[in-house]
Amino acid sequence: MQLIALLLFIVALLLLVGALVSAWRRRDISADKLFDVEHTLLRNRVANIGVSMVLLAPRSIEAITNLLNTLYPATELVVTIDSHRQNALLRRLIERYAMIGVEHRHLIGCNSHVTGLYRSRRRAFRQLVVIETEEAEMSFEVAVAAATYDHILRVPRGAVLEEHAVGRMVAELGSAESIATTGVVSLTGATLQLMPRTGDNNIGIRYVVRPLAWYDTRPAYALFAAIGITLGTAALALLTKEPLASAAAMSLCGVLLCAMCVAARMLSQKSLLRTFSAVVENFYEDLLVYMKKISYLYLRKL
Amino acid sequence: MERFADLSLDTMMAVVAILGVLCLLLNVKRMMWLAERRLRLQAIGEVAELVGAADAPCYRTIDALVERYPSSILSEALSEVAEHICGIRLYRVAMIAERSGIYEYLQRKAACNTSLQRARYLALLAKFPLSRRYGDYVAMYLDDSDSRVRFYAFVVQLVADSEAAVRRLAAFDRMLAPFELATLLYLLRRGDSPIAYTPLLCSESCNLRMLGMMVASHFGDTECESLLHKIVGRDDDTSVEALYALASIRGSVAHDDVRHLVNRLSAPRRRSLCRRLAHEGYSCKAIESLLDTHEQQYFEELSNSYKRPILCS
Repeated sequence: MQLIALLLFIVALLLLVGALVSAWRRRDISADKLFDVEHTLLRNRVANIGVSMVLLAPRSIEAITNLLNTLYPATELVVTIDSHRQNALLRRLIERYAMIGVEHRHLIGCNSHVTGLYRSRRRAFRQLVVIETEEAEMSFEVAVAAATYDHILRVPRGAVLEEHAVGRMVAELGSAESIATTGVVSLTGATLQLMPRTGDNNIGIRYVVRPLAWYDTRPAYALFAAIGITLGTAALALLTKEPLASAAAMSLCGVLLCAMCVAARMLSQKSLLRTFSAVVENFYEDLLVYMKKISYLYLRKL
Repeated sequence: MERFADLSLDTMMAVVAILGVLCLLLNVKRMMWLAERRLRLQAIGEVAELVGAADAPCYRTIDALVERYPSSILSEALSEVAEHICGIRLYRVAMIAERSGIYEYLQRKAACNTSLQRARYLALLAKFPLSRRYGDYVAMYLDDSDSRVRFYAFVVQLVADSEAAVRRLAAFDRMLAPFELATLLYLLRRGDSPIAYTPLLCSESCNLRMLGMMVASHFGDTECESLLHKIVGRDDDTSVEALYALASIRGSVAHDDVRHLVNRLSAPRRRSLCRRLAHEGYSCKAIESLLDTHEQQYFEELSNSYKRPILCS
């Protein structure tokens, strides 16, 4: 009974926190829903806002394919490839997108780190730029120097973007003069931030709460793996019913939880509180929607 | 030891249960999202089938549609279909919306909600063909404290009374943001907004000039080049936008007003302009009067990196 009471208390606490966080970020959530209505507009160019997406040393060609599916028209994808380690990937890219080497003398200050700059011969992939670099540390600077547009979106490795994600960020950016940058929040609370090429990046940041706009596979895998191992260990402890096994399982749970927190924090580069708040507020929003639907169905039945 | 073991077991079970609940919630969330999306797609399919049929839908079919889908899904499905059609078929959408009570639903929801939620329902309302009475109805939202509500109320008025669009735009109390201008451009493509850009570009109103420039750059009409030069020479908020609009129609930038404006720009803005001009395919000869020697060299190298003759073949 105590356990049930404790569980109920924790769930109530979660709901309360969710309600508070949701009330606090109500405006962002509503803005996101407003853009849901205007999704046709998200495929159109907004004034002179263009976005250069930067992907550093991708592991596979699928990550590039995903980013090329972005629907916002004024976008460009700048991919850097490590010339020492990723030759096979570069060859595959050249073959698949019919890329040819072009001059790269305009990359002032970064030219010495660049081995080659490639653009696609195919009109459909004109927005793809591949840079072959020698030094991985300078990749981002090189990519920014090669970017055409004034806003940079650094996409982490393993991130999968929804096709409207960039359009949403641009819509938010173009909705008011006072906003300098914007971004989207993933399910795990990590953010993708659209940065202007120049200026102070910390002024007027607005986040669009869009849990499925993008997701990073690594924290999600870490989270689900940790949950799976914890459940498995707990089941083992319950079956054996030995105090030592219970204590060991408890310690293991603690270690796993800590590892999960550290992994989430390191990989998403955001605090655990933010991750937690994102999960909870999404839950709260969905609970409200679910209640509305149930009440609707109930009324319809009557 | 035994007591500690019991305690730890309870605590462990609580932790496991919390993690399990969180995991479950994530899955439930995903499932709900998928179910809603499936329902919406189904509704869009049915509405599109009704609208595209040879004969106009009968009231019984519309009533069956209303029975199957909640008003929230139906309103979104109808607006989605309305966005992609024009002409006589649009009035079928209006008929379905009228019969299923979507207009009343959206008005009621706009009245019940506040802030961005209200803006959302007004945005949905603006996607349907509207009579003038809707324009009068949303007039009360023009004084709302939220700027987006005011804007979408204004859009509803434009749709309801497109003949007075220019007058209303000129009288709008603030400068429109880029995304709002894109919304107006979208209305234009649907035929709810004026398409003749010459009076817009010659107007004294900033909003009208900005809309005119967006129209000109969207359709790539080179006949407005001289008008854009004039706006560049005005030296106000719209001058830089006019310069970019000029670039997007590949107009001549070898003009005194353009030169004066470029000279006043900061170094990063000039570099940005260089990138834009190179991206649009300007030749080094066309821009040599605008930029200094270093910038010209940068522009030349940047242009060469595009290799247009090969890449665009």
